[in-house]
Amino acid sequence: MAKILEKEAVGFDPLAWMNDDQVDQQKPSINSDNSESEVKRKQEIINEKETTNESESTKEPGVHVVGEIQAEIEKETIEEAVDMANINTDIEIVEPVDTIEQDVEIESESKIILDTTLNIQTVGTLYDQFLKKLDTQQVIEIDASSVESIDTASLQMITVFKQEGIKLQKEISIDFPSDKFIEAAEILGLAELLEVDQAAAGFF
Amino acid sequence: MAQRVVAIINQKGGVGKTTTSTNLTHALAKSGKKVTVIDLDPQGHLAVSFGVVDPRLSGIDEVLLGEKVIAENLVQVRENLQLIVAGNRLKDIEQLSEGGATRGDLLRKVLHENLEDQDFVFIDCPPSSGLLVANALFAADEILIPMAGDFLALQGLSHMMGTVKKFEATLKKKYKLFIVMSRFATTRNMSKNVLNKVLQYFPQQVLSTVIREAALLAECPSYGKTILDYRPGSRSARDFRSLSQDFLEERVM
Repeated sequence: MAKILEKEAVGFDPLAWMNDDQVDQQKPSINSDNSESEVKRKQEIINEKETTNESESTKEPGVHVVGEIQAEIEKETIEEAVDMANINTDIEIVEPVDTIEQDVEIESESKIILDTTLNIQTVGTLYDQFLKKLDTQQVIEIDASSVESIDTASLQMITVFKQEGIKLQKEISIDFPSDKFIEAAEILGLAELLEVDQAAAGFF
Repeated sequence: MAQRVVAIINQKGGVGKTTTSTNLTHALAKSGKKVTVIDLDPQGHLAVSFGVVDPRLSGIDEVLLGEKVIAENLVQVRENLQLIVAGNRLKDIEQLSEGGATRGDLLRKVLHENLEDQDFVFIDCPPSSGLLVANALFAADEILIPMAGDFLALQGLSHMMGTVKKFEATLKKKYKLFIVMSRFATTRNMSKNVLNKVLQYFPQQVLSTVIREAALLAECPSYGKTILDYRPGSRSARDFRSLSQDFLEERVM
């Protein structure tokens, strides 16, 4: 969590997330009721990645990655969005919320519950979740009711995910979008595309 | 491929990327190393800094587009130092919409099995985050981040590290990363605070020599000279000579 520093010329520490990142890597956070299933899910993803690595370990590193990306060409636009997301964080709607950042939780097979704070640090996790859902689900519901802060990167990711879903003839809906989510989508001109404008939200 | 491929990169502008690219590569070349530096910034300021101003020169643009081989576009700018200019069409590559995922891998492929006699290939990156920077990160194994001593540079470094970590995860490799404190105002409290902050997060990764802010460094590109040509006895020239030794010997703060 970013900190405000006192008695220094540098008031705000933009690099603080790097400490959080290191702690996260050393100590997986277990902070929800379904922590057991979350840990299991993460282990499955790790196993999946290790299996993939083993089967491709004989390839040249660079070629290996390029080949991997090419093989997932239908998901490429999402991949690019992640890349761009890492970069285009200039427009950011962020509030100094003292919430503990949580990973995206999956309540049911078809549902993705978005976290309170969605930013550059969480977009990678979100991307993994989206890819998994795209592979396995026909109907995907994104619960955006808890979103209090979302940046351009995350919105861009969700937009591309929705477009990719349309392309693959999957049903992707954003349910119960919070006011902050709608506000951010409207500022970026994505509300209509994401079907989260105020009129639509009124149904919920 | 050269022994070491180094991307000089920072998504923030005005932190000293091109100044570092120009003067560090010249200092390395003067110490006997064989160096090639690629201007991957469509603005083409690196070439200007070396006194190369012919707008008709083709450069890395045509190499990346597959129209020329790298050897055709090398310009010998100093002893032991060759330059590949940006070229007029480099900005178009940033906008490429065809070629799928391979668009990010163009430079790595170009460098593969080329420039094998070189000790170093440096890539002077643009202050952006598009396809050109992606190409640099695909191609490089090492990253040198010039970092100014102000708060916005710190913010830029944060964004930069987000990008680097993403590439490390995707490419499954760990970059060798060094930071050089550039445009440093030794008398300013903010600069010291920023340096301390950087050291806190990047221990053993900040090169020992700080490049101090100096008017001479701003002047020499207008003469097409590096600081080592323009004022070889100056404080700034000493800074860059010292920095080149830091880089070679991995001397850090």
